[in-house]
Amino acid sequence: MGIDRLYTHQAETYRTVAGGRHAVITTPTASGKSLAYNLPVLDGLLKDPDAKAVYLFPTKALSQDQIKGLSDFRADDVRLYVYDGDTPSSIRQSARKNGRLIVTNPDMLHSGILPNHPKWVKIFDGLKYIVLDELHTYRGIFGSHLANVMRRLVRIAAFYNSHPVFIASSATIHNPDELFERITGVKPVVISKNGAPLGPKHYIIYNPPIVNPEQGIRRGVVLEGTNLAKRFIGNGSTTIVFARSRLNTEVILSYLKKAFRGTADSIAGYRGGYLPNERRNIERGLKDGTIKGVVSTNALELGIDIGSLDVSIMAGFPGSVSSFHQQAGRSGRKRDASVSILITSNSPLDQYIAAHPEFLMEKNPEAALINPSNIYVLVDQVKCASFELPFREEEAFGGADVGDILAYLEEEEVVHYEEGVYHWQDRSYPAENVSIRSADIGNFVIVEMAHGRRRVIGEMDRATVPELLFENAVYLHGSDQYTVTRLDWDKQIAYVEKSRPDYYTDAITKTDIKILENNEEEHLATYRAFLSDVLVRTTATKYKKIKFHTHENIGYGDISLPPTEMHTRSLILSFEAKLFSGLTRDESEGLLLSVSYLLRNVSPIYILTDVRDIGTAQALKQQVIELPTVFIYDKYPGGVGLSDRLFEMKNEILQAALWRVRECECSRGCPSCVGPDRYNKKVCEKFLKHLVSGLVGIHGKDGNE
Amino acid sequence: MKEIQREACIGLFPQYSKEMCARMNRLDLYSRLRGSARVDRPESEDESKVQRLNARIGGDVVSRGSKSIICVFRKIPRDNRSFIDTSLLDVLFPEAGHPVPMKDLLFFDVETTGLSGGAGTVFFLIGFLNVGEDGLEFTQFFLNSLSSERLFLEHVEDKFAPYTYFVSYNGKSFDFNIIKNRFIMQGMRFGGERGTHLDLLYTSRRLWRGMLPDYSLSTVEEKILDVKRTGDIPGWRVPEVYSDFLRGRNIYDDMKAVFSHNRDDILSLFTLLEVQLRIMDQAGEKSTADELPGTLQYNPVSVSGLFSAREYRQKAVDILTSHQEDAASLKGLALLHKRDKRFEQALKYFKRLCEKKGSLSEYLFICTEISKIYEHHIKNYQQALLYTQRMIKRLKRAVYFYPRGRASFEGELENVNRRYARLLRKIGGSKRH
Repeated sequence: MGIDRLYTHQAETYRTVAGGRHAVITTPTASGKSLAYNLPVLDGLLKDPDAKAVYLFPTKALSQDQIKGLSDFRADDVRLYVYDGDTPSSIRQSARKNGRLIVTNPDMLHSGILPNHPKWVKIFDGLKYIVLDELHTYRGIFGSHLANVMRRLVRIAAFYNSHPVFIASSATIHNPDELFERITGVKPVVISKNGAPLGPKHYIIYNPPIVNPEQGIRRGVVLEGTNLAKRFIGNGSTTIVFARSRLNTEVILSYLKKAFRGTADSIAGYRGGYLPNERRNIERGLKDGTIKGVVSTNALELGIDIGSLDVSIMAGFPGSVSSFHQQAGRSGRKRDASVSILITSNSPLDQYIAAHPEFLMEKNPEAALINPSNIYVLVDQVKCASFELPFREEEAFGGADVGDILAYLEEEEVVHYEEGVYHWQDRSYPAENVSIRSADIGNFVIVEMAHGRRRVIGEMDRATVPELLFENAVYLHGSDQYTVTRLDWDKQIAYVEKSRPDYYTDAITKTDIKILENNEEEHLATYRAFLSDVLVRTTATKYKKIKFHTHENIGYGDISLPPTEMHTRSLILSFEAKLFSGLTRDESEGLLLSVSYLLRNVSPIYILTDVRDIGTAQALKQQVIELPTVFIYDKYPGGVGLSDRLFEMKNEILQAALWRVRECECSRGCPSCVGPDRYNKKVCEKFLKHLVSGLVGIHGKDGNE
Repeated sequence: MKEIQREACIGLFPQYSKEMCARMNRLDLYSRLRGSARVDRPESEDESKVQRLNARIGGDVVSRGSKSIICVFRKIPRDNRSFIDTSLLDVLFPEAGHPVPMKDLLFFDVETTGLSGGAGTVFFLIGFLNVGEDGLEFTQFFLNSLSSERLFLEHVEDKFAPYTYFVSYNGKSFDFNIIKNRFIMQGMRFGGERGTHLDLLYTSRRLWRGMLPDYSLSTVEEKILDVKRTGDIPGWRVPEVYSDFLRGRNIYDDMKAVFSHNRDDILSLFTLLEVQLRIMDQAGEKSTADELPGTLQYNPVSVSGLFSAREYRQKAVDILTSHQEDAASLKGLALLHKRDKRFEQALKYFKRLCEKKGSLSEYLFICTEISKIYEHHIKNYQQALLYTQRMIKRLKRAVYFYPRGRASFEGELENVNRRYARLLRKIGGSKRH
């Protein structure tokens, strides 16, 4: 392959792994991470003919990409197999028999390989290396499952007397070592110092000017992004634009193609679902200069290689600091200068980042969180594990005590206890019914009925259905408008028809939260914080019909759907009643809404998560605590650790919320701070100041220092 | 507690009871795990459990320490009729390379706790049948308790060890895999892996290709062996019966039925092999056609395929010859002769096929074969040309309803035209010389 010398991080990884220690590599995009782990693994496999390795990639596309890189080594003694859903059965057999290095994904490992480990005896016998690429993608429910899949893997490997070394690569996150340890159960050496050369790199954060001072609306990221891209491409710089949605990608792409009408082929779009050779074409085009500009969704964020460019433009903060670095890392030259531009939108998080760019450059505060002990995850995973090998009575499962779960499974007659051992004793194949990418496998299908034909146009997760797919709801899909004609709750199908009413619908939901158990509790001067197990019960009772453009309310309808219930974890903040003195009931409620809006929107600074994974609820007088209260909860059943981190970081998050309000350039409150139509900026700022100063012990008389 | 919650939630939300119950049960799971419920396990009831089952089975309980299994041995005396001619066994065991005596065969069949075949599937009952000195010998081993698996597998291994030829039904992909898995799971070596395996599912599919609705053992029993079991326990109930037995429930009669089910499967295997050998033996011999049992028919083309080895080639020809009324047999016969370079014979059968009403693609295939033989082997270009012309004529007639579409039609026509042109050239050339 013509490698003369290694970068320091590659050499360090080699030494670490060759010394039998576990490693996590967190150097930036395009720094040669694959080579860093391929080298010690292939070296180990060549030196020890009995050794085997398993590579895990979060997606099939990444597996295919990596196979190419691996085969470039021409290590012919190391038989290499991709083993995934697309592998034909003849090759599967050969992979089991002759494979030395198996490239697969977590789903296949979980449902195909581990439950059939006796067939894979040749791989497990001598399993020496496990490589986990893109470790940071294993967070939330997926990561919580994966941690348990790894426990199963380690347990089976130990059965065959193998004790593999784990090597992972990860984007820069706050806690790569912690995430690694929670997923694999072992402590890694963190390799973070990038030895790859890099020319001068400029980071620019561009906050577009305000066009509507009353509402605090700024010029949009799509147009601004297009304009910037035009200028760079026009000057001959290779440029990539990241948009936050597929729709925005299409829009920017069409604008750019129009702008470069004569040479439209020099502009390429990139979305998920492109085939490897289409990607290669883009890559080749960028290298030989026939392609000057690429517009992409976050699909190009994961480690797929398209070479490096001069300019990367992010039309909107990509949602997390680690995504920011992944996307920014697409531009970078070994010698020449390169630039990354972040254009910030109106959202509170974007505006927070615009005011606090230090978050992007200092140590990344975002933690990737998982909760391998999520009770639903753990029960499902213990089932799968006991199918694979019987559990001894006192056996721990990767550090978790699963005695109660086994007793429960015994009672359910899934396992059978004999002489200190729990044996699987059921006709089913448990991995088949456990989806490791979601907590609940009940997605609803959206079916369009037209001219007596049925056509599936989309899917929706069960929790959102009562809010968007109730009967008579107006459902917007792409640029089309539909009305829900019938919702079959049992079969999980929503039937829709194309329609053109001049209004859309907005469900009114009521969320009740019952506190089941407080796990942690802290009493501060102005508020109390709890970390609790809660039961969240959401009911959609009515919906509003809202006229397009004028947004006036033109009527109501009833929704008759069962409430959805979920057991999860929540950060609970209860505030001293005196903080609300002088406020009317409506004002108090508005204040609680604004506070939860702010907290929810700034929390992604500290957690690697999507805002949509965080739920909020308010109570003017919580039943048990008897104080005004907000709940910031994990939207996954059982929780994936978001609330735990929120509880731990509550001071910082309150501080961030205060900053956001204080720094907002609007006058009375806007969607970038306290939320739409609320106009309580002053009250909110004062309230948050009380909370924050209360906890550091400075009691301002009325909050004005 | 679970029951109470279930009822309570049905009362509250009658229209969504199913949905709610599922949800409540999840919650219930949570509270129960917190409450850490423990199951009351029956104390040392194992021994009486085994004894009570064995009293019905009439086997022997073999124990080692706390582990035990039930072993059943039966001799089935040789009846008056002698075993059929087994000289054709080597056709079914081509790997053997020599005649295989019946007494070297071991028939086996397992009952399992599930059908998935993964690491968590256990076989708990295995039945064997072999030909002994003075009749058939039937053996069963039964796993009394999951912790006795090692003792159980030792017996299984001892039974397999002396044999190298195994007979099963769907055992190649199912039974054998589970057996291998269990040996690996117990860290033991399975000697049976060395052996050669005859799977009667495969031979049944072959002998009766296209003639049975499916090839489950019970269908084959019913349609071929003319046996209908009465009082048999259905296969799908087997896992649940064993599960109940392990959990100490009083289902000894059902458990006994599982033993009988397994025994009947094994006996069917033996009979089935006999029938298959008889068909193979008598196929192609006109005089004995009447002696085949009842309505028994077979697929001549695929049976003849069994006899592809050189020393059996005549047998294959005989089988197909005795089914000349059947177009598929005729075609098989023609191809067989062609393969053995008896071109005149091959031509004879191809031409007869050509006169039969057949599909377009079939017609094209046959004419091509005939034309090829004339062109390349007999060197009669005029005849070759004649059949090529016939093809063109038939093709052109079919232009508007060519089954695979216009493009495919053009391709086919181009092929034939090319052949036609080549033949014309050859004819012209041979005239010049």
